Amino acid sequence: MTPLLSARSLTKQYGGRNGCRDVSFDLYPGEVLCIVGESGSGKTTLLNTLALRTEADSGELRYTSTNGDTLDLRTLSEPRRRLLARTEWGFVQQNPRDGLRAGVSAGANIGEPLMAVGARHYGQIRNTAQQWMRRVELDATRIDELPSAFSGGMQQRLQIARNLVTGPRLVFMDEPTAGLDVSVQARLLDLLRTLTTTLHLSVLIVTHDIGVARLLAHRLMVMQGGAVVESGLTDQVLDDPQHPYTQTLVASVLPV
Amino acid sequence: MTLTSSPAAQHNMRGTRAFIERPALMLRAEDVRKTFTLHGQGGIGIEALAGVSLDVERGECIVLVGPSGAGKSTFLRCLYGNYLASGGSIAIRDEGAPLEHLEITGAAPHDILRVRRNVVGYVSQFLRVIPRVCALDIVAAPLVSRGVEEDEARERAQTLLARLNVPRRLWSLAPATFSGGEQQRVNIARGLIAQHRVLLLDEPTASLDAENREVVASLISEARERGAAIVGVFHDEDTRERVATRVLALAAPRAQAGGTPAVAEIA
Amino acid sequence: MNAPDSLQTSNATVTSHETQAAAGYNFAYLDEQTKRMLRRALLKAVAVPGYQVPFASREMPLPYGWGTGGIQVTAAIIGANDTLKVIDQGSDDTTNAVNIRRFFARTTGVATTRHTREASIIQTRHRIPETPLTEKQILVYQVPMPEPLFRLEPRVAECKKLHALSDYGLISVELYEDIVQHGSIATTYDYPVTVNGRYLTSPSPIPKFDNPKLHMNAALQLFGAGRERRIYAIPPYTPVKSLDFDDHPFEVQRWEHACALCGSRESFLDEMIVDDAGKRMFVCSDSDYCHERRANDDAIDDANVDTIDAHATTEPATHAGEHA
Repeated sequence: MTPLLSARSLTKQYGGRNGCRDVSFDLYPGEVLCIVGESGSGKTTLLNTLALRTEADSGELRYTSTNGDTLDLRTLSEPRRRLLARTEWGFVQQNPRDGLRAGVSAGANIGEPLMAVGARHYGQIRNTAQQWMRRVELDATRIDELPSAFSGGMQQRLQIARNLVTGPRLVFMDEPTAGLDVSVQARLLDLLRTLTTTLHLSVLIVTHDIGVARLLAHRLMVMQGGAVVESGLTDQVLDDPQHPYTQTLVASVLPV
Repeated sequence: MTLTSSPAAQHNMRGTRAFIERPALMLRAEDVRKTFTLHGQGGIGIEALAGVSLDVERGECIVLVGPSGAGKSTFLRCLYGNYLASGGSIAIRDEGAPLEHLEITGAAPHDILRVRRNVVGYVSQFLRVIPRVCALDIVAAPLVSRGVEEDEARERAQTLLARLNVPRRLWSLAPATFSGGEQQRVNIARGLIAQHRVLLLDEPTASLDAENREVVASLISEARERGAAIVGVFHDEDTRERVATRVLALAAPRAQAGGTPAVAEIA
Repeated sequence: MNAPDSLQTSNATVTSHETQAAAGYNFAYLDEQTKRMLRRALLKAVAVPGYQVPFASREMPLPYGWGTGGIQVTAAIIGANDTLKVIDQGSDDTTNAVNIRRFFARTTGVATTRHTREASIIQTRHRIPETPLTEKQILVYQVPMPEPLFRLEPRVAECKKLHALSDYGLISVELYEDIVQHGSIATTYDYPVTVNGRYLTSPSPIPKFDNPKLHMNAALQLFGAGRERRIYAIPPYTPVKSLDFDDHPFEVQRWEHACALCGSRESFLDEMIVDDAGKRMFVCSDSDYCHERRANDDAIDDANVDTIDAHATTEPATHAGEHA
């Protein structure tokens, strides 16, 4: 089976240090891969480089499109990149306000990706938006309210709906539950878990929270100081950590 | 240094032809060694397995016996890929793969995921579940991940839970508040429902009363008769007698002078 | 400044020569280099219908916001034998229209007219003349904000990318929100259009009533935004489609009333308050069109020439003309 996303020796550094270096992995359809690390580990740089929001310094990055073509992401033209981001990818920001349009209604936020790819029937756009609101457990009658009328956790759900409405195959998430209350986090994680399995999504999640990784991810990559120090199946990395840093990380998790 | 579960290899580099020559062979472990290195404690090494070998064929149920600390659970976890073996090899039948098997030691994560989904099932000693998911959905999950329709998956889950005497009123509740025995039965149901061809069972009857131990033993026997290859750890002798076709005795590594542990066969 | 005493603002005659233009000014005020720059921009604009061409907007003798873009376009294309008409919201008589017309008369000596049919260049603010235009005519629009996306995407660099990539989801979002808030698309002027099936364009703040006239117009339509420094064009016979949703199609405004002066039911009507008791009167916005209709009516029906009584009504206005 061809990997969906393939990275080889991917490097992005700022002034010769920090960032991420020499990262290689393959991501397959339907897999959830968590990139775990503490602040400064380079995980967000890696995510942004993979999602083409930042340009890599060196290395290879390939993506297999819906029609089976393998694209060299590093040499992709900007129009194609934007089309990809609109149709096959999603990016959920840590702060939902960065991923939503504050000045238009919830329905418009969810409907915009559809309109961007040519949806022209107001009634259908609205119906689809309401369906998605229900799927992310938001009250669909609030479709005309502005994002500011929703709580932080609900805004995050709105952002998720907006990202999933076009049926992407690959979703990038940057600390999707950070900053939320614990109970809100829990509900959101449940939602993400359900959506990733039922929609057969491939997801790349960056988080500092091992519990999130344990719950959502099939695979785990542990980053420290810009390098991937350990990677493998989530249960294996967490139950049988090899690298000193991973062992510290796992031992540091507070038991409940 | 980057440590992965080993460089991803599309082909088994030192593949064995055993799986082609012996159609009934489901699992082959050769000289499996495991040492835990605790970096946080000055890098001390704890040897858990000193070289265990085992072939398992369809219809066999190998019971691991030995004192506490002998590495029985560790061995099972290595077979499942939950622990990284430090040495030796573990191969599981994988239809369609080169040489008809997958070397767990050194396999790419997605290959192991595939084999876990389609071939190998694992019942751990303790139920570690996702919070807030009800028992029924936990049990149905392995079927759903194989593509079975949700409704059908739930029905089969209900049948199994009923057989394991899990009260109906608990089916729609999350197991966090269940008794140890109830949790264990949910765990067993989840492990057995997909009828994997290789089953790894770690103390499945530990918290159960006699009646439920009997149910579990029946389920295991049925699986064995269906052709599953089973490796298990059972504390309780009755169950062991019921299900085992062979016994493999493990001794704690320090207790050995070297060489493989004694294997006793039960006809 | 050095304006000659006798000005050419005749109604009909076409006699104008450079000798009668103001001394000390280049023809049409702008120097030849500037006209060349503008013409290059215009050529580019005509070659890519609806695409906003940046240009080096010059300092004009009136401030930004008063039609400098339109004036620069007109100045670049006007020739000695042209006849110029200038209207502001349909009227030849507003201060702005009068000033601009006089400006060109002074700096070119070109003939000017009120009659749409006699003009070869018509500079307009916020309206398209009711009288259909011909292939021999050029319509020059004054444009305040050429970027149809600016309300939702204030970054100029990002807008350029959106246009380049035909990434126009945003404008649909705006229309969607309109329907959410008002039950229908509430935009009544400066209604966004797609030109030649490609570029999203602002037609300038003309009422949406005029949008259908943009489509397949025989005349060349040029748009100038002085403050924003953009020029764009719609060549003759170019398809222009107003945006809408499949289930909320584009519709023009309609009035219940007819023009109080000429009786027209087809033209865009301005609503005028006639006294302090709130009496209103609806009158054609296009003054030349109205005059012409009345002249025809007079010619046909002499008996009805009388003081035209204002058909005053105290009903509340249904669709008022927008005065941007």
